[in-house]
Amino acid sequence: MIQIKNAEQIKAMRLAGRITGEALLVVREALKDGVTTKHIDDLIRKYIEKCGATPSFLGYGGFTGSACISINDEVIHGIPSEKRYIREGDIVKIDVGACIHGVHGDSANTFAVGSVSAEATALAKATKESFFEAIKCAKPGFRIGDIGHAVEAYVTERGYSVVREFVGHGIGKDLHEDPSVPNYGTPGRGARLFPGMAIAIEPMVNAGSSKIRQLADGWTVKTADGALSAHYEHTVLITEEEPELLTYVG
Amino acid sequence: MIGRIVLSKAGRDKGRYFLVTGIFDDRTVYIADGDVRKIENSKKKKLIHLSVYGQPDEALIREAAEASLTNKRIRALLASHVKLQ
Repeated sequence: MIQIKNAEQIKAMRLAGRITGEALLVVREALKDGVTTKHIDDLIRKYIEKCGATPSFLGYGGFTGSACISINDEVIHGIPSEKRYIREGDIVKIDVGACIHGVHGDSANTFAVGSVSAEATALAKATKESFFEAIKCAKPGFRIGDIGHAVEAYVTERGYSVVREFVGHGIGKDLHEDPSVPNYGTPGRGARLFPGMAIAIEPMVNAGSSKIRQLADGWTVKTADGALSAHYEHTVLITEEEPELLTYVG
Repeated sequence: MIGRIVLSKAGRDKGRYFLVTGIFDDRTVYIADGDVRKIENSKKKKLIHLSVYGQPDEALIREAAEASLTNKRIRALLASHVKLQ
């Protein structure tokens, strides 16, 4: 069942959101050729803990990292590892969650390491823009299907595809709540949006086919055709008027 | 669910907040707001057409369970509890 947040919960989610957003910013400078994804994960975990919060992903379903760190054709859920190195030219997708006062924030971004290809830059840009296109529908009077339709229409116009197996989600006391927020949909369909709802909208966009495959580690998801993938996510609070991006910092 | 505040997502009452005043079965509850839907005419509403608001409030749950609510009291309870700001 969808949970509408009261004023107290909203206040806590603003804090959780801010910590989550900041955790993503602090690693920007550290993303260089030769660092391991474990090192980045440690920086994120330490920052979240320093803020008095706990990493939402750590231990979630057995996940061993505080962040999902996925490189190039990895779509999501990359497990931080001492053996996985970041290289010049990579695009690194980092997804983070932080929990404080019993509520969560969830955010993700795609980072370029040094000089990346024009193709990678265009993909990341379109993915981010599809999010901002989608939040035009993140208001009372719209429905979940309007959000998904906005994402899919925006990226397919540009020759990309959306991942269908993984979706955005409600968020609050639990990291994943009702409703599901797919990156595809039919306008005018799906749950109605009301003030007090908090949802994580997270376009996952592939440069090639929408098909994905799961690796044997049980977590990492890659594009089936080896093409690049980008990710952008914020926790969004539906209000009477413009949506509030709880994890958007600076 | 008795004593929880809920938001109607579907039907002519959609977008309004109500108090759950009773349970019909595992999928359906009774709701009232003391205003357009008085307690004596509580609406049977499926859970799938409701969103739950905020955290469970023990005092509210107790009061609703005692079945002595008036419409005036329900209106006052909803006004004091429903805060989105």
